[in-house]
Parts: sequence; structure tokens; C-alpha cells
Amino acid sequence: MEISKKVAILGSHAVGKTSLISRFVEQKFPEKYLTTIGLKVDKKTVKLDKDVVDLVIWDIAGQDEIASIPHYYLNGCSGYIFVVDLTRPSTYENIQSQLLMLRGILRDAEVVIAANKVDLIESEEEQQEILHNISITPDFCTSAKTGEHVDDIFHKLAEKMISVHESR
Amino acid sequence: MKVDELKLGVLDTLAQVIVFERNGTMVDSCHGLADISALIGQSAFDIFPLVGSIKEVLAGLTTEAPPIKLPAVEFLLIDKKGYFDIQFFAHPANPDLLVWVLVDNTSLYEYFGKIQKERNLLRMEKEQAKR
Repeated sequence: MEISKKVAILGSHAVGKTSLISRFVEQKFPEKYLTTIGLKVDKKTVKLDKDVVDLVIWDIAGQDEIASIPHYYLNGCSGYIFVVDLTRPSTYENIQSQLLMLRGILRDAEVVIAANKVDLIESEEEQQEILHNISITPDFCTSAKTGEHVDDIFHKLAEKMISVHESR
Repeated sequence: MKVDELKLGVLDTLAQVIVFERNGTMVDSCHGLADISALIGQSAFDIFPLVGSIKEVLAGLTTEAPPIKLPAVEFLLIDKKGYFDIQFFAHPANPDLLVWVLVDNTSLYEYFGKIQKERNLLRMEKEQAKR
């Protein structure tokens, strides 16, 4: 099966959304911090065991309030990746309420949670301590800088969307 | 020269209007931002991933429905790269057609981008200082 799906990358400002996309699509890590204004769209094909998924990735400007995202940005999304920054508690303190709000807006969309910037965490103990403070367990700890688990978040989202697509 | 002519003269190089059928086939366009003559007859859904990714949403557009508005889209229209305010709506005279309008606001959004970047960096510095 070959399908095309719109997916969004969401999360607070400067958590690394654009860098994750850049690493996934172009295998590059932008060393300089660039702020996304509005949105940017990229495309990449993910090959799974039996299926091919064309991901059309909407990189949406960082927002602290989900309600402030223009609703047309989210219309038609089949899935989204919610990104938090392991080094900044403010990006995951309200994760439950933010995901709850997103589930209300994107009722049928699949979600993958990425805890980014794991390369900046100095030890396994520190990482576990931070993860303990995040009220929802992330699917992956990622690093756009090193590439750690970056492909995995997109592959997992593609697999989840295919699974739902086949069950309908 | 009439005011409307002056207005159109100003907008001519700042905006582009592309008309396409509901199956995505582009049928007409002005060339205010980029010359897309070679793309007429081809599918906007195939050529522009942004448009293709919302084709199910576009299918729901009627002449009574409000336009779909996508502000501040970083976009490449052939050789014209910039920040565009984009909107889609059903053609008022022919509901079988959809209209895609791009308005170039690159200089404005680049300015906003600089301001936003400064604010974000300042907020992150404050967060780090608290820890």
C-alpha cells in the first residue's frame, strides 16, 4: 500500500522541531537556531515492511498555547509529533493538558512524543530523573544533533497511521 | 489613473492567483510572483505537497464556506522563495473550480522572525538562569 499523510510537528518554541525535520529529511543539523514563523512544509517517503508512506510534514511555529495555533494549520492532519526539550521543564510541564487539547482538535490523529536534546543530558541518571518528572512517558528520547532516534519517531508515526488506515 | 488601477499595480508583483479544478489540475494563473505557465494542465496536488496534503479539506470548500487561510507559509513557488499568506476558496462564479491566492509578505515576516528569535532566546536565558 502507498499512501500520503499530512503530519504536524508541534511543541513549544526552540524544542528542536525544525532541526528534527532537517535531520530526518536532509540528514543535516542546523547549528544556528532559526525561528520558524508560521509554517513550512517538507516531504519525505518512509518505507515500512509492506507499505510506503509519503509524509507531508508541517513544521508549525512553536507555541506555548495549543489554542493559539491557527486551526487551518491542523485541519486534515493524520498524525503529529509532539516535541519537548529535556533541558527545559517549561516545555513539558503542561504536556498532559496540551495533549488533551490536541486530542480534542485532532480526534482521529495518531501521536508520537519525542523528548529532544538528549545529547545535552550528561548522564543516564540525569536522564531518568528528568523523564520521571515528565507526566507522560515519551516514545523516544531524540537528538537532532546526533540523529539518535530521529528516524524512529517518523517511522513509528507512519506505522501507527498505516495501522489505523488498514483497520478502517 | 484610477485608484483601483494604482492598487492593482502595487499588488501585481506581490500576489499570485492560481485557479485549479477540484481534481487538482491547474487551469489558469497570473504570474505576479512566478511564471507557472509550464505547469498549467498539471496537478497542484502532485506538484505542491502543501496543496496535496490538504486536498480532502479543499474538497469541502463551497462558495458559501469561508476561505481556508494559512498565514506566514515559508514556501517555494518555482523560483520564488519567501513567506506567503495563502488562502484557498471556491471560485465565486464556478464552484467546480478552486482559487489559490498567495500574497508575498517576506520582508514583514523576516522582520517578525528576527524579533521572535530574540524573544525566544531571552526567554530561554531566563529559564536557564532560574535552574
